[in-house]
Amino acid sequence: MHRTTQGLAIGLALALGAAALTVTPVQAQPIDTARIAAGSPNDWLTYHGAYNGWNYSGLDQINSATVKDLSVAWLHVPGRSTRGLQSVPLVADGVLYYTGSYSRVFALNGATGAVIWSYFPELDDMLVARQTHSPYNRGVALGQGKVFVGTVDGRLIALDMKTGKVAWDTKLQDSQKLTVGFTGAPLYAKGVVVIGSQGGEWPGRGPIYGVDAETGKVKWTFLTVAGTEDAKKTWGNDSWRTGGGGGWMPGTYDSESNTLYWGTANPAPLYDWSGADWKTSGARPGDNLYTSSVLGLDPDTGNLKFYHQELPHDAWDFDSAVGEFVLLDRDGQKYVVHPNKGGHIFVYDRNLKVKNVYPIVSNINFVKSINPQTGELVGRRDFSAGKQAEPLCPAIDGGISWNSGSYNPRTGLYYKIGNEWCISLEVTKTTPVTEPAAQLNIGADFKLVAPPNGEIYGHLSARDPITGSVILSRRWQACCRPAATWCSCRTVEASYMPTMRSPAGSSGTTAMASATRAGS
Amino acid sequence: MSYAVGGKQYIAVVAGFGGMVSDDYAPTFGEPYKSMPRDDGVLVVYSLK
Repeated sequence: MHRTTQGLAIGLALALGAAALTVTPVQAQPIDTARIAAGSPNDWLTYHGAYNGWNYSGLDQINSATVKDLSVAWLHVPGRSTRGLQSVPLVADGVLYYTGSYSRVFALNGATGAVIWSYFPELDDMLVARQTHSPYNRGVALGQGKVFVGTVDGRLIALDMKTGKVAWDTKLQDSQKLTVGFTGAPLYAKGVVVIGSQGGEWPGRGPIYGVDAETGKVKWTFLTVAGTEDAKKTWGNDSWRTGGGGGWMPGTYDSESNTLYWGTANPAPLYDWSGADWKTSGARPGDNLYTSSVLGLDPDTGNLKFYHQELPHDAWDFDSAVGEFVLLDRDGQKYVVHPNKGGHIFVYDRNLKVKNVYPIVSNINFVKSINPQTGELVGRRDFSAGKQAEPLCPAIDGGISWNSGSYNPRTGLYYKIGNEWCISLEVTKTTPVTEPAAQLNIGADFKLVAPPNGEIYGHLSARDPITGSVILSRRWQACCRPAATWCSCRTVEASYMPTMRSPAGSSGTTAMASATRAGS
Repeated sequence: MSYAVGGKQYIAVVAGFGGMVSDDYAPTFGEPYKSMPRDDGVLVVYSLK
């Protein structure tokens, strides 16, 4: 969009704002765990739509026959959206809540876009300027009449849903020392607001916090790096001090088993120089629990119920923090489907026992395969210091990343974006960083490159979520990292290219919806 | 994501160039990323005419 169009948009929003004063608001219903769990086609009450992680809407007004009539209803320009808008809006009772960069929160009339209230937290600009993963924000949580947002300077803030006034403001992270705060959306469940820290690249311990939704007091903290005595033993030479493991994207909640599912980031440094002797040598010898893992936590206590480490001793920066936890029932079995940044989908039972693993991208060479029965990595590729002869695939940006996939219960298919790209890599032998410090600990120099014998591209696939069988796949040039959301029978994919597309659920035909520069 | 108000369905899309990964796009892919404006994200909401 050109600046002139933005000006028109602002003017339009102002005009609609005046009109909105006469709009009768929908009668607000309390937002609690039961309402979020039940879901509602009119609302989008939590990051992935509902706790089931489906990113699915049952609304069917916009469908294969009507999509040709799609047009822009309204726009909102948040201003100062440094490094892009990355928020998933939430909607409750006709009001849309979303965030811009610098942890700014907006409440808008869902029908008109008129601003009901906005909240701009006071931030330490000098600190924000020093941060690597900043200043974007990926959204809010709703519950108990409040809107919850994490800030890039390490606070969790509750705002009154109706007024935007601060209900409480709790400092959780010492962002001055670590230069990490919160960019991911929180999750509300059972009176607790859960949020995970940024960061696999700093000497922090990746905390996940459970905060009382009413008071803002911390109820529990789970350390994803050496959070138990058993876990500490998996970091040789006290290397747990090198840290990592941030749970930087929201997990989900299963009310049946009273379990929080949450993913964690890689350990630091990202790239280890241990070579094949990673269990006994290198920057952080051992499995490095609970990094690059999926956790089952008790939401009342924060205690660990069970876990699976998707990548023991992750030497490639392939987080488990990314991606949705899709809760499915099939043939009497209850499953959890979760993507890993390395380009694999892990299928678990509800106790996180591996039931299947399958790749969704073609260019993977950090392992030869992953055993689908056990989840064991087969043919690991562990680096020694120096320039690597072959590129590492997928790239540091991931075969998949934090951008969500979607499950459609009507087709029984799982829709997910994949990226085909690699990096050239020179691993460096780093000095261990063991004290909290504003120092990014990567352990390599790298550059984005095309896969061997190929080119960089992206794709959207529709699969059986349990077996991984591909029903439909669409490819596009250049790359991607958009998200997918199901609306009735069509998937909306938003890409960096200047279109928004709506491919049909099963036939793969495409209707151009509108000219939109979309990214994430 | 999608929602409804007063019986009408909407689709909301955050639009605009950005993100850490996109910092690499211009040197890797050139145009159109090279000249894409930064810091000007927009929330675009669609409905049927």
